[in-house]
Amino acid sequence: MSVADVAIDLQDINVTFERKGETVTAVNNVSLQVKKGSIYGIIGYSGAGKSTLVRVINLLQRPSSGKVSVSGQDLQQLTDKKLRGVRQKVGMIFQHFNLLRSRTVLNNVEYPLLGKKISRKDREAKALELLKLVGLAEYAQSYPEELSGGQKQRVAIARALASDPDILISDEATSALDPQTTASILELLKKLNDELGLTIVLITHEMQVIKSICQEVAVMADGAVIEQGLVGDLFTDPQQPLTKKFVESAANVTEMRQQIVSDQLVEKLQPNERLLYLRFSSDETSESVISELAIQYGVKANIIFANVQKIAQLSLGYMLVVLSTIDGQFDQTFHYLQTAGVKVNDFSEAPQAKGEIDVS
Amino acid sequence: MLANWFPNVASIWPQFVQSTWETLYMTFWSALIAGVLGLGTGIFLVVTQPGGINADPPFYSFLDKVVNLLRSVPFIILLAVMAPVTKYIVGTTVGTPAALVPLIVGIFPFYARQVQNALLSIEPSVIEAAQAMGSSATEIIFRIYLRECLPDIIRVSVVTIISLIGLTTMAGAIGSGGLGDIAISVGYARFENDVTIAALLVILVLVFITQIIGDWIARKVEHL
Repeated sequence: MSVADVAIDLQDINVTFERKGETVTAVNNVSLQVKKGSIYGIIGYSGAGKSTLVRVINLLQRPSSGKVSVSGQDLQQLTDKKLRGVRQKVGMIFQHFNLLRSRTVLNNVEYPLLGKKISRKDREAKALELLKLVGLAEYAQSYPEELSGGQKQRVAIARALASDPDILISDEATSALDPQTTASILELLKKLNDELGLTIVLITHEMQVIKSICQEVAVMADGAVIEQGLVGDLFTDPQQPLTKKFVESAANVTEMRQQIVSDQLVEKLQPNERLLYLRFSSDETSESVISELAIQYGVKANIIFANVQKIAQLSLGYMLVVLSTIDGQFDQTFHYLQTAGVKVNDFSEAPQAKGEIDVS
Repeated sequence: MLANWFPNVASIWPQFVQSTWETLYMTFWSALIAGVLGLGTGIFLVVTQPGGINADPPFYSFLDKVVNLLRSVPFIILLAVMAPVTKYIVGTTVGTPAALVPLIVGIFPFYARQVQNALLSIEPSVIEAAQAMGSSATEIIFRIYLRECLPDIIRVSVVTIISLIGLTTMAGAIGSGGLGDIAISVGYARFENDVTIAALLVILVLVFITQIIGDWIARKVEHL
């Protein structure tokens, strides 16, 4: 990645606090780069340090050590005034919207333009334009408390866009919203990313959010980034247990695992049967593999659970299947699956269905 | 009717009117000056507190202690203690203008505390959002704190002015006149109860008018 393509570059960031004489590490040696025009997700449970980390990007939180550059500028070297200039180019939206209750929706959107060299008329026109973009032009003269959560977040997005930012930071912006509203807000963010080339950094604890719009993702736990990469790679081949947990939560695999236990699937297996958990990363394999097994090797398949999810132009399939052969031999089957690029977990030998035996 | 119900008031009518004016004078000027001082102090307290937008813990701690100290001095003693300062500033320690100095010193810490509490009602995350939008500390004070808290500030101002009217009645102790003075030095001392009651009634009317105007303005700015 050349320097010009990097919107945000964090290097060896540490953030520590003194609390009652004890040193608490909120962010532990994090380095990450966000490409211009990309959507970068940071996922982790609450307390993982996500919020602190994104506040380092606009220096709302000064790191104890490490280097922060945004659009090629070393932020720690800037004067307060210059830093405020950079902050205007980094929009931010929040879980609880943080609108100003004493101002109308229009005035809220105008806020970042106050004190700028722009006439009142132009300022209002621009704010109205942005309200149209987020679909709330008819609420211009309302006050924030008259709006629903999703509408408030749209106003907050319009406000964040008023100073023509290059980057938008979303701090759990959909966490207080219901699933449908969440989807519409994410759609709006995606649209802004497509149409305005806005670089977006979003933090969330929901893998669904990452799955729907992010290209790259970092997984955080205890202040550190434990895994990062392209969303597709992370979903197909998660390395860390926590990442696997997040990936599975997005594909309803967690529920499937519970079903194995409650239905006692493993206990009910015949000697010539195996309970397998298959994962494959493109939809061509999904159909052909099962039929191929039947035709070529005479293996019968009983599909108990299957799910395909689209992530960053990739289709990821998850399948729980009971295979049976006449002779009870599975060596050929496993070999075939392996060559077909299918990841296999054999649950038959793990009665608690927690088996992570990766045959591939 | 005045001569029937308030015979003694009628007989000292010019003096009674004069006292009312003195009370209004003391209330108005000390409210104005203490208002500016208290608002400023309240803002400084919020801005410099640990975690504030211009955090300065040593300064905050100093200011906080000064406010506490001034608030703990009983007003009647403050009147006496302030005499040398009053002499220095006003040039005399008696008369109505001389009461302004102790009144201001007595009321502004009270107002500062109330303003501080009003400003603290803003969610820290709203302030953070303003910082994220590149607002400077001054912009945050004027565009967020004072603007968002205006209804609350008006309400605490009303409470403060009403307290202040109460304090002006003690100013008679240093020869500054006013309705409190006439109630004690005429009504009480000469057993002319109607003077005391008339003074009380005028003060009650002043308090009610302040309250009504204050509530009206607060509602006006609240848009709700």
